[in-house]
Amino acid sequence: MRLLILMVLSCFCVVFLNKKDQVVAVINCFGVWSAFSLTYWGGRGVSWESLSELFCVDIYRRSLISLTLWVCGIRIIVRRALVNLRGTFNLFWVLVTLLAFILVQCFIVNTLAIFYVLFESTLVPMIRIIGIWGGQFERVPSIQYIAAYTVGGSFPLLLVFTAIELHSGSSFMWFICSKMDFNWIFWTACFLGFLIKLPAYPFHTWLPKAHVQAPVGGSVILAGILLKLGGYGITRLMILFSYTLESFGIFVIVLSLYGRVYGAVICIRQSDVKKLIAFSSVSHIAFPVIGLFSCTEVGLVGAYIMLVRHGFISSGLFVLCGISSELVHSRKIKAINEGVRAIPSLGFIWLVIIMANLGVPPCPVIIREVLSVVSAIALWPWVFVPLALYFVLRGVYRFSLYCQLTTRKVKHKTEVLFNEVTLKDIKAIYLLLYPLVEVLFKWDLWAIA
Amino acid sequence: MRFVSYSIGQRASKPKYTWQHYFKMLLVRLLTWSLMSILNSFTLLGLRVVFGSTASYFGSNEIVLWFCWELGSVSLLSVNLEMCLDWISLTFAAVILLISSCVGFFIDFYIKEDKLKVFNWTVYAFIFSMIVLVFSGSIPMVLVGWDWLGVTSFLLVIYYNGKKSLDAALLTALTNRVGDSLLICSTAGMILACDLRLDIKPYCWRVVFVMGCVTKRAQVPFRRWLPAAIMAPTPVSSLVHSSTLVTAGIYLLIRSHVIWEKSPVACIFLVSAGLATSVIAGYSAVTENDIKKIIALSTLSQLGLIAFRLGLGEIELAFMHLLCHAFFKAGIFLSIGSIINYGTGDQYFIKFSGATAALSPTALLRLLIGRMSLVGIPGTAGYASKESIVAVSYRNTSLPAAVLLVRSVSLTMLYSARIVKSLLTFTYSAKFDLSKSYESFKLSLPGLLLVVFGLIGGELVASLAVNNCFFEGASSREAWISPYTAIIIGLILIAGVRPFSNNYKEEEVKGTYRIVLFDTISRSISSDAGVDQSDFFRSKSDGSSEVYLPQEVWKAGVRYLSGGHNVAQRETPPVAIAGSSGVRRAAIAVV
Repeated sequence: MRLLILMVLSCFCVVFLNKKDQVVAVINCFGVWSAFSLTYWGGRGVSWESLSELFCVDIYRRSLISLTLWVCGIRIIVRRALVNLRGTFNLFWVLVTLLAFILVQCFIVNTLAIFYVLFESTLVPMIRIIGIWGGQFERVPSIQYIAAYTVGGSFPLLLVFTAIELHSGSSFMWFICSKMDFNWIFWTACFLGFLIKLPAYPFHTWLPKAHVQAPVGGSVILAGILLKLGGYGITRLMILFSYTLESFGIFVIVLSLYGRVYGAVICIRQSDVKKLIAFSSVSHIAFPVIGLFSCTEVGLVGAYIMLVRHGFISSGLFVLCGISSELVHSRKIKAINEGVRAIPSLGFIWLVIIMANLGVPPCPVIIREVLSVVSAIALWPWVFVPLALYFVLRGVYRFSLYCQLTTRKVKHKTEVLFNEVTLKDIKAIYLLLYPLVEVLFKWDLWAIA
Repeated sequence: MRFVSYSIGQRASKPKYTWQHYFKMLLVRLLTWSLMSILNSFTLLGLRVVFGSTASYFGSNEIVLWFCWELGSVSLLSVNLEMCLDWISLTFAAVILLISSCVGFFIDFYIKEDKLKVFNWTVYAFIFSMIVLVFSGSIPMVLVGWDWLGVTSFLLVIYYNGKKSLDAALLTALTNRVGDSLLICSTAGMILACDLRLDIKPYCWRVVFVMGCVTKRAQVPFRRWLPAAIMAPTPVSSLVHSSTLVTAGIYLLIRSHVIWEKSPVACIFLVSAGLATSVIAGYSAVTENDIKKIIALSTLSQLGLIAFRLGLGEIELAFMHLLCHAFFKAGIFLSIGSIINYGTGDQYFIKFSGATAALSPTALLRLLIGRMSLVGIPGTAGYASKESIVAVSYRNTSLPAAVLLVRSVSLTMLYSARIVKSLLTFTYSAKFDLSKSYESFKLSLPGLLLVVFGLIGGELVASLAVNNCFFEGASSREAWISPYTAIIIGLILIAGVRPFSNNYKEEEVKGTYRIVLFDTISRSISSDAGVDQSDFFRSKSDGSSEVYLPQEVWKAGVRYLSGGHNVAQRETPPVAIAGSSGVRRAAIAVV
């Protein structure tokens, strides 16, 4: 509540500045807000202190709130990559701030009905961002995709929440449901919307389309936070209905095991960098699905490391992709290759981020990998075969991406004039990489005990 | 928009330096300089001395130090970064540091000046990650070192940035990635057993673990990357393929032998993979013409022997052979590097000319000594370690395994003899003029040092660190005197037989192959390589008339060794039997 009041008030102050200073002011505001959200980080359990009955925080909510504010701030920093002339820039930060506001509310609200409303309403600013600043001609179909998938998928969720309201008179999140046995139709209705939002395997098709059409800032927020909403929702509903290992969960795990390998194979064949990153995040996001649906504490911790880490690294990849594709005005790997070779430091940053994504140890990814493998093989030991296959395939596309980006294919010097190009917004990447260190040292934050 | 102007564009666009800027630049320079001066080869050498003496102290007093840093815990599992300092890790770290300091001296002269800095940083990162792996005491630490090794070796192999090195780098990285994935899975299995240390009781995922280690070690199912990875610059290959990267897997197996030792599946896998690797690599090395590739393949076959020994459960013997092998293989690589450097840059040793040989006499000498040690002439470290392998295999394995082992060892002799022979040919035809030799002292010193260590150092290090645990069998009279007697008898006999078989040079080469290879293979080899070899042999027969006898004697000795050494070592028989059987084999070889 304090955070929300602070957000509203400081936004109010920002409005009175003159137009040039507003952007800097908003970025500073996001810094202050994310610092303020850290004051919620006391203790492990649910903290009721100075929160109204409408809102409360526990460890999942705290981490996701801080993530949201941090990534949204960075998203405004990378605005320089938005080089087209549609819309005014102030509209952009207004939309981002609105989105951040909705998301923070969504993460701390206590009532399922309000949660549902906020969950759906994140779609509005997102669609406007894609619609206004989206690069290509296909942005309208991609908007249709994202809207249809999200709204259509979460419609059964509305039915579930309505049923709860009718049955118990309230949809308060912290009541534990007394009924213990549900059939798989009920579980499908509960989790389908979130699985689409994540996106789990068969419903992932909207994600690459949306990513390719969205501007850099849009991709950052889409990969950074909106996908986390799905994981968060799954956790909440699992706690509410005291989900245990069900056939529905096993089915989902099997699907996402397949989808993970599938995503990696697709990645190997991609020539479009942005689409490659989108598919790689499809195959990454299968980890939290496995971790959550395996119903182990290890899996839960692994899933949340994954969610938070994916928020930073995947957005870092999108930012970097935006910066380098801005140099050459193309998203093809071959074109970007020339840009990267013109600026050697860019190659090094690509290396760092790709390796962070691959799970080279200073990055917490390796812990997450081990933990989610544990949660998977606790179900059935031979699961390790597709998992190992996936690890290898991921290595394939990461290493080959790096090779294609940095190595020289032709002898002659490139004729594009890169002398005048300087790197813009590279600071955003450093800001994205920094929190990873924190995640590394606090990785057991989400453990229950 | 103030923020925008603050961002990086400003620095690039305005070249207006204030005194603060100069001060900052000076500071940065100073920092980098001091870092680089700390991070040089002398420091590595000093660290090596420290580690070595600590190792001998720890070894004699049986001290083990554990450092543990808890990263966090979930349910029953706590993830710790543990460092384990005992004599094994300290000795191996000392060896790595010694080799890498020598390689560091070499790099300064080998790589062009403008790229030296980046290259040096990569190499130091590589060495550091190897040291991390060596000191690791629990699986999370192993994963750290392992992944860093994968990435840095990828960067080193890709260094020349061409099509071939790109392919090689991808092959290297991906094969290591297979190892990574298997290791991660086995870590997960360990977590189910709730303990992440490396010396825990056996658990059910040990086969996966062993498979994971095998990838980095380039054994049979995953052996393709090592010959490909010689696309890296030569100092790197001497570092990567001798002492560090390929031995990482072996070292990990040695470290964690408690885990897999009791599993028959893992042991059988190790034995068979090791044997298959060493025999296959030996065959390919015999047919290969690229000299760097031959050496990489010979590394492969040596590693196969070590794996074989590990599978038999002889952990400490394997460790000792690892050390010796690291020394002389690094030395050989360095000398090959300088030979290639002074020659035309060509790696096909058929094309080496007398001029090349004359320019780098020290390199030739080093190559010769290193080869001697690799072949295992008595008195060298290679002999002591290899002899014990053969002896153990006679005692413990079935007949086919022993036959394969002997075959792989004799293949080693054969390709070593091939290299030495080709180079010695030029040595005799070339005119040495040391005053005009371009080989600088600094370039040749590190390799010489390494080779000398390969000659004696393995035994020295081992006997310093452990109080005589290796040399119980080898110190007896038979192990040292009888092989030499056998060799001398063989030499005399062959020197007597040689003049009669002078006319059959071509036949004789084919005959040598025919003994070792299967007949069909040998025929295809000699017909394939016939085009290349014809001028090669002609050049030999041109100017070698006056130095004919010593050369022949040398060749005969080597050939004798290729047959006789192992026979001599069987159960350490009396001199007469060993000598006679050796002579019989030599006679077969000649006829």
